Parts: sequence; C-alpha cells; structure tokens
Amino acid sequence: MNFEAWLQTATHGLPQNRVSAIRAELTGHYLDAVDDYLLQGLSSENAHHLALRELGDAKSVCDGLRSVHIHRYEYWRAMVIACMPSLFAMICLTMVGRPNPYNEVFLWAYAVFIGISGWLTIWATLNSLRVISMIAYLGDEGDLPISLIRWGLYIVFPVSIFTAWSNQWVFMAMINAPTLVYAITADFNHPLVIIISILASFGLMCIGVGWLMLAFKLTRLPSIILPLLRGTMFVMGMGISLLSVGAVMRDNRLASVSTTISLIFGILTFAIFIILFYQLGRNSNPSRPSYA
Amino acid sequence: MNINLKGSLPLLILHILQDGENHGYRIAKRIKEESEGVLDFKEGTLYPTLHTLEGQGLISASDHIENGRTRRYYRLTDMGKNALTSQLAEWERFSSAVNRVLSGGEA
Repeated sequence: MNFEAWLQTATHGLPQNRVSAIRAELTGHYLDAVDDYLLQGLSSENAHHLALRELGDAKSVCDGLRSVHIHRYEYWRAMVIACMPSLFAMICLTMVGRPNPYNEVFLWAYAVFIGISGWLTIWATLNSLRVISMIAYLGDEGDLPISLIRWGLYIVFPVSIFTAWSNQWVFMAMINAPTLVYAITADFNHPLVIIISILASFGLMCIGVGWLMLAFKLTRLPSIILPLLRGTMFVMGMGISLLSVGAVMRDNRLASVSTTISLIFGILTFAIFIILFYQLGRNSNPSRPSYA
Repeated sequence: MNINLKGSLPLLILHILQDGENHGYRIAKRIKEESEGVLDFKEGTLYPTLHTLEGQGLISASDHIENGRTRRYYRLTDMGKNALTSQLAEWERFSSAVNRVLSGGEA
C-alpha cells in the first residue's frame, strides 16, 4: 500500500467538507516523518516505508476519525435523502397503476411520470450505495459492484420511459408489478421491443449481480443485524436477476413475481439500513472540531 | 513495547501542549522521545484524539503553510488548562493507588 492508498482508506466516508483539511494534515505528518528518516540517512524507499508503517492501520485511523467527525444526524440525513425518493416513486407507481392505453395524452403523461420516478430512483439508489460504502468501509472493494449497479440503472432508466410509451406488458411488469393483471402481450416480435428487452435484461442483470456482490462484501459491518441485511440484499439481488430472465423470455408472470420480490426485499433492506444507521449513530462521538 | 494509550493519550497531548503550540507529528515524536520509546503507538491514531479534544474545546487549532505543507498547530485553551490540572490530579491519585497495591500497601 502506498501513502495515497493509505490516505484514501483513512479518510474514506468522512464528510466532504472535512476530508481535504484532514488529508492535508495527515500528508504533512507523513512528509515530516519521511524527511526525518532521510536525515537519519535512510534511503528514500525505506524512509517512505517506515513513515507509512508508523502511521498504522488506515482502517483503524478511519474508524477513529469517523467516530469524531460523523454524527447521528448525518447518518439520518443520508438515510432520508437515500430512501425518500425511492419510496415515493415505488408508492406512486403502485398507487397510480397503468393508465388507459388508448388515451395518448395519459400515455405520454405516464411516460413523463415514469421518467421522473426512474431518475429519482437512480439518484436515491446511488446515494444509498454511497452511504452503504461509507458505513461498511468498503473503499475500493465496493467499486465493482457499485459500478455495476450504477450502469445497470443507467441502462434500465431509458427502458422505463420506453415501457410507458410503448405500452408493452412485459416492461410494465418490471416497474409496476403490484397493480398488474396478467395479459396477453402484443407484437413481441417487433425489432425495437426485442432490442429493448435485451438491453433491459442486461441492465437488470448488472443491477442484480451488483447487489449480490455487495451483499457478500458487507463483512465488516459491526452489527448483529448483518446476516439479516445480507439476506435481504441477497434476495433482492436474486429477484432483480430473475427479472432480467423474465425480460429475456418476455414472461409476464416471471417479471411480475420477481419485481414483487425485489420490491418487498428492497423495502426490507432499507428498513434494516435504518436500524443499522441508528446503531452506528448511537456510538458516534458527541463532539467534533469545526472543519467546515 | 506496544501499550494501549487510548485512555492516557489525551492527558499526554494536553501536557505537551502546555509548553506551547505544536503540530501532530511533533506531538507524536515528543511522546515517543520523552517516554524513551516505551509509549510506542501508531501515529495515525493521534489525530482522532486531537480532533476530539478540539471538539471538546480543550485545544484550538489553526492551519499554517510551511515549505508548501499544511500544518495544523494545536494549542491549549483555558478550558484545556483546567482539564489538564484535574486530569493530572486524577492520574496522580490513580498511579499512587496502583503503586500502593503493588507495594503491598506500604506506600
């Protein structure tokens, strides 16, 4: 590990307005130590190696800094920011249901609504992932699953708009399962529908696999509810992966069932996050310096 | 020797800062030098303690740029001076109690 990687780990997840000052302070310390070792006659390589070793374990330093700089209200704020738009979008989609397919104005309005909800969901999910990564000290280990989920969402987002516009049942099933009745699909052999379904399934598979990977990586969460959290994330990931199979096969029933599973376990996951944040926040230090 | 300094580190920091303002690296060096290497700790762990003391108002800090490096200098506040006095008294009481037990209650 070089000093930059050490610094990255030690300051990972700290509030943005304090990171640069803390990084500068730790960098100054490290360079002073290197200078001292060089004055003692050590080679540059040895001086850097010893200075880094003297700083200690980056994760322990990160733990200590977080306990000083992160407050319970910051966890709660992050949680609310992360969850509210997702919940809002899910509730609205469930309540509104599907408009009359023969009324073009409604269909376009629905497409706009789905587009906004989809974007809110992407934003909220990415915020959630940032918070998960922060509290689980994932650092670089979280990069791949989080990127998979991010790009999966970016692919699925246009599909959700297409869904509303095209009025294809299989896509409707993906986003609006609880209000669906199974129907006979129309014109599934249209080339555009085939291309979109392949794209959608690819995006959904990315999201599903990303969640599954993330569930396995959450080993460092200091909580007795970790197995529960991993379990709900695992089922959610499986649900989303199954949904991608539903999209490929253009199977309404599979899409509906897997969407419902993903939704239920997604809400459960968020509920567990709330408990987790409460637990972590309770242990945080009541005082901290003013770095703002 | 690796000694868990967590409990006594704030007292050591306050004690060193009573000689005047100093930055993290020098504080760490002084603790190690003056204890002749007995109190050997990982220097990164000093900063959470420094930031906690700052948050409690026992020390204050200001940034200085020296040779292109940012150094955060810490100094004792009035509240810190009072805390140092009471923590020193507490430490004396604690260490003399331990010594009494170790010497079989003779002290």
